Amino acid sequence: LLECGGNLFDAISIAVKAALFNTRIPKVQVSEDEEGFKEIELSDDPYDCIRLNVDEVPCIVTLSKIGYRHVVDATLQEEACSLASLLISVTSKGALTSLKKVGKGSLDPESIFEMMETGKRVGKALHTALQKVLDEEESLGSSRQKVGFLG
Amino acid sequence: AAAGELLSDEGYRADGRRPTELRKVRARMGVFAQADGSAYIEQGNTKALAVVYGPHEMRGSRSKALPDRALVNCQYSLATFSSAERRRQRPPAGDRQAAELALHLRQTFEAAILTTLYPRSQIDIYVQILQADGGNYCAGVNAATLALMDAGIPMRDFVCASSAGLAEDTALADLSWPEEAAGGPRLALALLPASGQVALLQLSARL
Repeated sequence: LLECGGNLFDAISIAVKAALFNTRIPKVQVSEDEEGFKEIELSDDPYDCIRLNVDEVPCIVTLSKIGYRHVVDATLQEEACSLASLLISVTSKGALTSLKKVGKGSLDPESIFEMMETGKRVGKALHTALQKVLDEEESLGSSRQKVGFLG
Repeated sequence: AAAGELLSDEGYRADGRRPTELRKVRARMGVFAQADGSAYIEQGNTKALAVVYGPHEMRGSRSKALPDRALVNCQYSLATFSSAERRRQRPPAGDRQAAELALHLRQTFEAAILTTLYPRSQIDIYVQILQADGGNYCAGVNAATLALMDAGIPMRDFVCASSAGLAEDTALADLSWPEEAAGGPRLALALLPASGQVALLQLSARL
C-alpha cells in the first residue's frame, strides 16, 4: 500500500483479483526414481503454466453512510464525514459472500438492506468492468506497455 | 572466480554496457499528492521510491529535538516483492541491514540539507526499493534527493550516488545485481557534485 486516498478495501480487493488473474504457476512434474530420490521436471517452455480461475473471486464494495444516504467509493474527505460504513464482498454473479459494519456510528436495518442492494448492483458492474480491462490487457500480450509510476 | 565473466573479451558487460556506462535512468517527481515531497526513479531494473515529510514539529520524544537544527529521520526498506524470492516482512527496526542503510541515508543527507534553518524540527525521508536489481542504496539516495527537491527543502547541493566495482583491472560503474553478486569489491559513493565533496563512501569486499 503506497498511498491512502480513501476507499482502501475496494482498491485492495480489485488489486488482489487482478494479481490472481495475472498469476502464472509453472507446470512441474515430480517423479521418483528407483532409489527413492525425487526429481522435479520443469517444462522447457517458460510460458507453459497454470492460470487461476478468478470467476468466483469477490470484490469488496464499501458503502459509507453520510447523513441519511449512502455513497460508494468514498474519498478521504467523504470518509471523514461518515460515521458508519458497510463493507460487502460481492461475487461477479451478485452473490454476497461477507458483510461487515465498521465505524463508530450506527446503522438501522432499513439502511443496511438498501446499502446491500446498492452494493450488489455496484459490485456486479465493478466485476464486469474489471474483467473487461483484464481481458483487454491480456489480449495485448507481450506488446503491453508497462506503465507504473512513469505513466 | 566469477570476476572474469563480468567483462567479455570485446569489453562488454553482461547486459551489453561498456564499463563506465550507466543504466537507463527514468524519474518522476511528485508521485504522491499527500506527502510534502515524493519521487520515483528507475535505474535499469532497479526501482526506488522516496517520500519526504517536513520540516515539521518533532514527533515522538520532544527531548530528542536539537536546539540549533532539524533532525533528519530516515527509513530504508526493501519491498517484499523487490527480489526474486519473496522477502519475509521484518519490522524496520528488526532488519539490521535496513537499519544500517537508514543510518547511512541520514549521514548522507545531514551533510546536504541546510538543517540549521529549522531548529527543533524534524524532516522524514522514507525510501522504499520496489525492485532490487543492484545499486539499491544508490538509487534510494537519488530518489531521496529528488523527493527533497520536490518538498522544497533547502540543500547546499544535490546528492548523487552510484555504485562501482571491479572486473579484473577494469572499473565498472553502476553495478547490476548479477555483477554485485559476483563477489568482487563493491563501492557505494554519494557525492555533492557542485563542490565535489563526498557525503558517503563505502567499500565492501570478500576475501
